[in-house]
Amino acid sequence: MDKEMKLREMEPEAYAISSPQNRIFKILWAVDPAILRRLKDETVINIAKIQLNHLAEVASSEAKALTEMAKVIGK
Amino acid sequence: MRRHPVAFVAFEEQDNLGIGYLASSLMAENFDVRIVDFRLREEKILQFLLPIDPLLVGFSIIFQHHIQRFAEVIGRLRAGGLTCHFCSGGHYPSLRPEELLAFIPELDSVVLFEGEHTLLDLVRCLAERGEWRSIKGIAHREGGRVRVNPLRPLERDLDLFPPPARLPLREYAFGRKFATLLAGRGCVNHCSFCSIREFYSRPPGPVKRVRRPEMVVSEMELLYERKNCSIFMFQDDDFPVACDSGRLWATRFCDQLAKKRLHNKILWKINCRPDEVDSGLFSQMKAHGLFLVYLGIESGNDQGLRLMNKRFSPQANFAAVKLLNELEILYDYGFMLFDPESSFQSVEENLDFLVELCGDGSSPVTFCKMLPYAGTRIERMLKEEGRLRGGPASVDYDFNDPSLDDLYEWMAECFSDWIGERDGVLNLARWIRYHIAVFRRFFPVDERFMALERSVRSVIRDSNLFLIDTARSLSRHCRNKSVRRSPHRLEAVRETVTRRHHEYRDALSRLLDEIEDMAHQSGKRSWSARNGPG
Repeated sequence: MDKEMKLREMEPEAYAISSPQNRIFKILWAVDPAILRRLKDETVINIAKIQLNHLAEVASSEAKALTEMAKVIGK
Repeated sequence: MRRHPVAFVAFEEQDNLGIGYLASSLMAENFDVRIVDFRLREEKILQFLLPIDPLLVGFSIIFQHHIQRFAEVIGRLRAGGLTCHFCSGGHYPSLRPEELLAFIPELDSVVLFEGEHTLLDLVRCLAERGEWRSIKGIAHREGGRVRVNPLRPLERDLDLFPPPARLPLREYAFGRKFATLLAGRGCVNHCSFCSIREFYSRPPGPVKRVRRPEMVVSEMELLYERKNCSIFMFQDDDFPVACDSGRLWATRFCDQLAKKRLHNKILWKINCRPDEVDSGLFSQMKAHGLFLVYLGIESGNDQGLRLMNKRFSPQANFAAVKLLNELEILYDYGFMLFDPESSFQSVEENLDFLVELCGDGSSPVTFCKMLPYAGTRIERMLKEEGRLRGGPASVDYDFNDPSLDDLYEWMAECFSDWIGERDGVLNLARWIRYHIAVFRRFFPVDERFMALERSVRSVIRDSNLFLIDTARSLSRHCRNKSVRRSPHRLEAVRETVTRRHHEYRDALSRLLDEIEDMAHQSGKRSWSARNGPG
């Protein structure tokens, strides 16, 4: 293995992405704007984004609660 | 003295390798880098950026049609109190800096073409409060005009760039993680619709460069060993497989994979031209983990391929796909059913071509309209013909036959979810095929799996034929000039497409769940076999 090569990973606090998208990502090259324009109106997109953000926040607070719980149990 | 971070606002759908490389070059010089997804709400982006008080915010504009949205985001960030240097980069900004700086007045500069060296210079200069306007490779405003500084040569040795900084790797299928990476940059071909050649032609230096295969494999090995990554998606404009030099490169690459004992533990995907698919080489690459090839098929008729300057025939497309099918390598493809010279005849020829190409369900049907990207020959042609319309964010054209505009509108109307939605048939069909390939690599195949594979192919075949039949029927309707286009007719077709789309989508989703269940069961069985009962 090349010892000079170093992989850099962004720390969690160093980035913010719209959703984890663990399973399915859009195949970008298949889409042209004429189709995109017709996909959904802005309102629907915004509602979806708000839902995703909400889900991410819920997941994050659940994770925090579990960590706290683990600490308490540990003590 | 504390260094202010450098932030990027970027489209983070998969990995954004361009930003990963820029971030890594800055991090290697001890700059603190932050990345925020362009798709977040403007307020979220502002909330992320304001407290970190960045030195510079870079806006990565990958797609020209995103510039309207970027203009809104950038305007909000300035109004919200961000006063730092704003710069942009990417294909469109590099090819049209004057246009972009006029379109988004809040931008201070554009980093032109390959940005690693230029951005680092700009950031260093800003950190030292130096005079940044004379930096090579940028464009900026001066006295009410845009000044484009002399361009910086392309870096000849891509391996001098540190590997891209990455967000935590995400799952591809069955817990296997994936990473995107590059074997090289640029393309030697002259396709008339593509801005890549233009992008790499303007700065001094070779239009195509490749990394050393040993370095690419070292990066893969690190990702495999340290990040548990086993799926590698090469995002090269054109993976090095063409001509003697490409074949030699790919052979050395395969040899390295074998030497590092990675060849039977990983899967990888490439992009290339159909006329580069070669029996001996691709069979060797398959044996070393190649599972998917994205082909620039683009058109199924001679006239379309000539306009695109592809320099091959529809037969070359068939030959490539036949070979990949024989080798059991998956293929996806780009296809412009509509181009500026389209006629009803060429569209119907293209539909016939698609039936022959993938009417067997070997790959899902896709289509789009060729767009006149900045700096391309197609854009120049349309401009000369007076057919270019819309602003930089919505550049488009009408077909020579106005009835064809109706057909395109109707097709887009009926199939937007199918082609463009995350859970649309196209995406699901592609995705389940990837799952099948991953399963084949990492799990034992049994009769149940083979039956599932047949079912997937059958759903894809049926959905392909339905889409093509519907397109043919719409084409017949639109080309008949004596019949007035009726919104009721469109509504009826759209309802049928929606219903069938849901049926195919549900069938694919069920199959996707089933294959995940199979992998889960298989994982449990192998755990029991290793650990014994109880």
